Amino acid sequence: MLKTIIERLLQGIVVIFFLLTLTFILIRMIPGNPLTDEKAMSPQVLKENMKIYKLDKSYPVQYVYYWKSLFQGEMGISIKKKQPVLKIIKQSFPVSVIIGICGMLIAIGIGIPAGIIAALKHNSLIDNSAMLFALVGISIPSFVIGPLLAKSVATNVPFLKVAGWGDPFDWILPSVTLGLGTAAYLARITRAGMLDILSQDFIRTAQAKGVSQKNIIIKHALKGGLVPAITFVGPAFAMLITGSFVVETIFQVPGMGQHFVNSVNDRDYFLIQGMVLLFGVLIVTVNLAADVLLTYLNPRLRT
Amino acid sequence: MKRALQLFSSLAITFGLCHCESKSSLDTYTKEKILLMGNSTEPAGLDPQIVTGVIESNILRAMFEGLCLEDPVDATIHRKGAAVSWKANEDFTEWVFKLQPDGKWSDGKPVTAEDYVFAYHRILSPGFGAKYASMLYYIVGAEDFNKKNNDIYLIQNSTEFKDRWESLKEVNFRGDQEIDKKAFEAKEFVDLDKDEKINYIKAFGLNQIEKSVLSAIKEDANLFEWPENIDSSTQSAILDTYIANHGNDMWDQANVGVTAVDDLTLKINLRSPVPFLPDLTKHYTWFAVPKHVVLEHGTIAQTNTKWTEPENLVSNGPFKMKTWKFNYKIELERNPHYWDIDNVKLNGIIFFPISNKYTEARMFYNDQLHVTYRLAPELIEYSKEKYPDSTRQETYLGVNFLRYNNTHEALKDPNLRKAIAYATDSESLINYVLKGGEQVATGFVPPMGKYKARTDFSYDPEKAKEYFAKTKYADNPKDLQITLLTVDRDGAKTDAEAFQAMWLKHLGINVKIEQREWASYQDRMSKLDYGIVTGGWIGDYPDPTTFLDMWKKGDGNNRTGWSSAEFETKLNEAAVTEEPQERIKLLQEAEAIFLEDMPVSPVYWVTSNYLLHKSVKNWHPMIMKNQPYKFIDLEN
Amino acid sequence: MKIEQGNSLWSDAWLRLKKNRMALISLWVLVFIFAACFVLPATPLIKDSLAQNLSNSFAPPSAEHWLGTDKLGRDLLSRILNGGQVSLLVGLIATVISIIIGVIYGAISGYNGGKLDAVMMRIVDVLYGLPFLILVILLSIVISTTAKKYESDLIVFLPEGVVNLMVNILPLCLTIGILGWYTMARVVRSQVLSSKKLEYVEAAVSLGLTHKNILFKQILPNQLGPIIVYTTLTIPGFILTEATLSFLGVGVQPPNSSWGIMLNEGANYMETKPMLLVLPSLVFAATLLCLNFLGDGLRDALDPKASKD
Repeated sequence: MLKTIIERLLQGIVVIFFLLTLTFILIRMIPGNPLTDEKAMSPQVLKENMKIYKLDKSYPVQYVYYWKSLFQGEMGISIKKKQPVLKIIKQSFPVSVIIGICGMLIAIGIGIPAGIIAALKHNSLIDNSAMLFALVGISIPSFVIGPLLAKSVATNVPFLKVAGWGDPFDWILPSVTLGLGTAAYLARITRAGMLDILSQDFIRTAQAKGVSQKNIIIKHALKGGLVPAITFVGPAFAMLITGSFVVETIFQVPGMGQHFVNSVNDRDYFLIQGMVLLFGVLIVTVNLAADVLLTYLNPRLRT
Repeated sequence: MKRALQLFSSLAITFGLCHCESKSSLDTYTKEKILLMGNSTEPAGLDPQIVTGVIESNILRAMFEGLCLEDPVDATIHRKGAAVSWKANEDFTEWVFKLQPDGKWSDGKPVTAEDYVFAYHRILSPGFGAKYASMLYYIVGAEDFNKKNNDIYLIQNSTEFKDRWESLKEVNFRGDQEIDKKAFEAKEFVDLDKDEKINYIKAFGLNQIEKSVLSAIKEDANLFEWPENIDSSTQSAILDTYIANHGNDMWDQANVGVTAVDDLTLKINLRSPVPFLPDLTKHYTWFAVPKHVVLEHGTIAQTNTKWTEPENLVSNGPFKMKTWKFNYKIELERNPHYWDIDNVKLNGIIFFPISNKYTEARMFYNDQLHVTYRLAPELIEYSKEKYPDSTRQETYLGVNFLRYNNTHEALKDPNLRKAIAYATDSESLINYVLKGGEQVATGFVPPMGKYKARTDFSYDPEKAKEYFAKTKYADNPKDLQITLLTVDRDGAKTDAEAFQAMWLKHLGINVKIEQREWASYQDRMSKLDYGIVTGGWIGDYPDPTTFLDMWKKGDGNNRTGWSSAEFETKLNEAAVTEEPQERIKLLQEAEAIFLEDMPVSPVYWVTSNYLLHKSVKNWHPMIMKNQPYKFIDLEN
Repeated sequence: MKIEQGNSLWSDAWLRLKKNRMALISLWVLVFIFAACFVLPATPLIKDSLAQNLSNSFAPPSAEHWLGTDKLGRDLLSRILNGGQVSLLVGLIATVISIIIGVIYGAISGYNGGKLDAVMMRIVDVLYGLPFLILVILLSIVISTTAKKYESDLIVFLPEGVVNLMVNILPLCLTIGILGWYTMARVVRSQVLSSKKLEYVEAAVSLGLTHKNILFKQILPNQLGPIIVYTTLTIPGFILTEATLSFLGVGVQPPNSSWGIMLNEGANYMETKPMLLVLPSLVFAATLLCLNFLGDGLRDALDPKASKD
């Protein structure tokens, strides 16, 4: 097991390397550059600014510079914000983690039990209503749910604000909006996975042997039934952490999601690369954790 | 289980009670006299000499103070700011400012005239790359210094060469604007082949090329096209001078017209009459920066140093920086060293970068803000009904217009441009779509002060059809392929759809809308990769030139490919005219020429729609929306 | 004595599906919505969705405009129907693309296992980590510019509406589909991996069946359940993705509309003109509901082991 983990970590580092390189190339291929602005600059001024950020050098040179500064612990400067990328990440990452974790808790807390119950009471009213509820999460986009919640809930509940990030109560609405969509997905996937497992022979055997329903679920079905769900949780978590741009703009949350979107719109090269690096590390870590969990649950997955 | 539930509910109730306060937190902020403002997006920076936007300006005006200060009610009055008095000579080409004797930076050090000289030196430094340096070009020698026209100092006025200037002035010092410089962006000089090298040098001229390139010319004279009458020893001498002085700061030689006569006296010499200089000094590009602090963190021409970090930032205005949390808030607190601090009512200001205008409105309705940055058109009627006292609709110095690509195969015909222009029903757009009380634009420059807006232009479908009949598409309008480029912001899409339908209806042409996000949109505009594009311009100072100068050939904000010698002649004439009436007349004539050609067509003059809480006092409508925070008060 | 005819997997499934009432209702509703969106606008019943009448904006329902008008005075009903064309097409085509790529990729990866699997999954990791937005902008620019090159050629022998669709909508479908197959691949891979060890697979191997046969005829059909469920989740997801992209300026170009765009705009008018949000949302939600119930029904119908005995 340990060997696999180390292997995976090393592979992960290679992955991140390719990720950064690919991003580096791609963002320089799209039209526009970091120095485009509302009031246009004279070519002279442009040249000076390009020198400052080493944008006047050829791509390979810029590439080498970037890795050099990375190893020195610097992630470059956000050209749009004139602040070190590392500082920006330090400020916004904790916020995104909070929302990500809360959102995930809501998603898991609602989604997985709902999926399990729906599978157990297959084709009953409970099944259909649970699935209906899950659908609400997927079919109404967050840019509708968010404002709806803000208007109807926040205005009527004293300690909830429509937007802003001050005290822990401000965590609630954004997390709910963010988590609902994932909850819906998880419910569906859990249900499907559980149904699959429950229909298998070894479950029938257990039933025939007289094992209690509760034990069947916990001891036999869950492990296999949750496999698709856990496959999904991995990347879902990483996506939640990097935050949803929509939720952040609606609730004025100073998280990372907006950096993701805005940095691309601004062609803010170093910030994009910083975001990609972070996201890459997250994805690799979370996928690894998910796979480890999966292998533990389901020995058949051990290759 | 039950006990856990009990515990949980009692905790929840306690929390709830504790936070019942936060609902009416606006009252708390009002009582403490801290102004909460929505400010659209994160500022790009807080260095007055680097930034270019309204958003940054809002924050800078609180922290810094210019020589003159806006009056909260009457835009024509110039109040004392960092300067306590000022005087101009007869023809407005020389102004002398006397600084406040008690003027201090927020770290206690006195504000001196030297800080101003330093600041202007800084913003005009060619290496600095200030995007807005042109705001100071009124100053004698400023433009040459900023554009690095070193030939003036190194050759024309130098002891060595000035006698021979007549024969030397043909030398290519300043480069060739016509040559496309994009080809050189990616490569280093050494990697170019011979022809490319010659082109490179031709494009940039002796003034701009690097030291290594100068040396290269010394070695191989064929790289540079010297005029015939210059012998090789002169060539060498010129090159040597350039090499010796390369990278030097030419400030002293340039004799830029700003001098610190003594610690408290600043003299500014202008190259043409500028009666409105006090207005210019209110703009952040004319602010001083603390020389001692800036130099502590870098050299004069170094950008993006740490001097603007919250812990280092020192300013001379009523407020100073307290904290800056990215994409969260910027907090300012009182500056105890401000010369007039006793008259400042507010204790602090917090700026929130709320990019989503609906979120911002919701926050205001929910008592979380005192002022919003704007108000979405969809909410204007609703706001007026429910919050009539808070909904403000004020004239804002700006124009919204349609830019035509004058180099476009079809649009280079002015008849087509005019046809489209006259087929645009601004009034319906304003009444049914924008609903923000905007004014139909009958000219380009909005009415301001003594400058009356022109009335050459209006919606006229009959005229539109007449012009269209003169174009080559008159018989087969469907053949016309034009893109209407628009941005994904602020209802631009709706406007574009409305325009598209109008032109189809009146002219039978079908333009294709292309919606791009901001960076692509700007990029394509600059590359002239569009047919028609929606655009707008907010004035930087209350003078018509802020709306006219940008149409000069080569100006970075032109982006239409249009230019007119006649137009520029009029502008240049006006620039040297001191009699105000005469000057206005010339500017009007320039605008008339502009409108006659119609490289762009005006749609409407901008209004600002926003929400203002009734507890904010002394906030009056101002045409440039630059309310001075010093006078603002908060009272329940 | 009547001899019972042996039924194939699919006809069995169809029989079972018919018994599932919710699924059947959903199927008919979907057919109705599809017909409404694609057929009705061609009839004179439905007004031109592009015809503006600025002075008649936000009009309430009337004889002339059955559902009222939007902010530019365009008929709301026809906007919803025409928008539906775009949304449904995008959802379907992009999903098909992502299934094809994802299933093949995941199956190959899972079946082979070992080093190939590791490399393929790491590639997916890399792709996952790429900022979605960058790829979207890049891809959509590249694909639409190539599409536009062929536009004039296509106009010659195809009706204008179809060409419009191909040039404006297809690039979007391609972009979304190409960027959306990763999770499908991962799901399929883990399914294939776990079923590799099952007895019927061992049996197939010992019988000497080719790998291709085993993979595509034995393993995959058994995994159709989660794949179908995931597909029915993907379609609405892609429709939503399209809305977000339009919001960012790289989606459907105005004046075309889609349900996503209408939801977006409707959300802005939530306080003032709720109908602009409610009406498209109802149609949107109905479509999704039906897709999901249908998907569930299909899942139940195709999986013989899931039948209630």
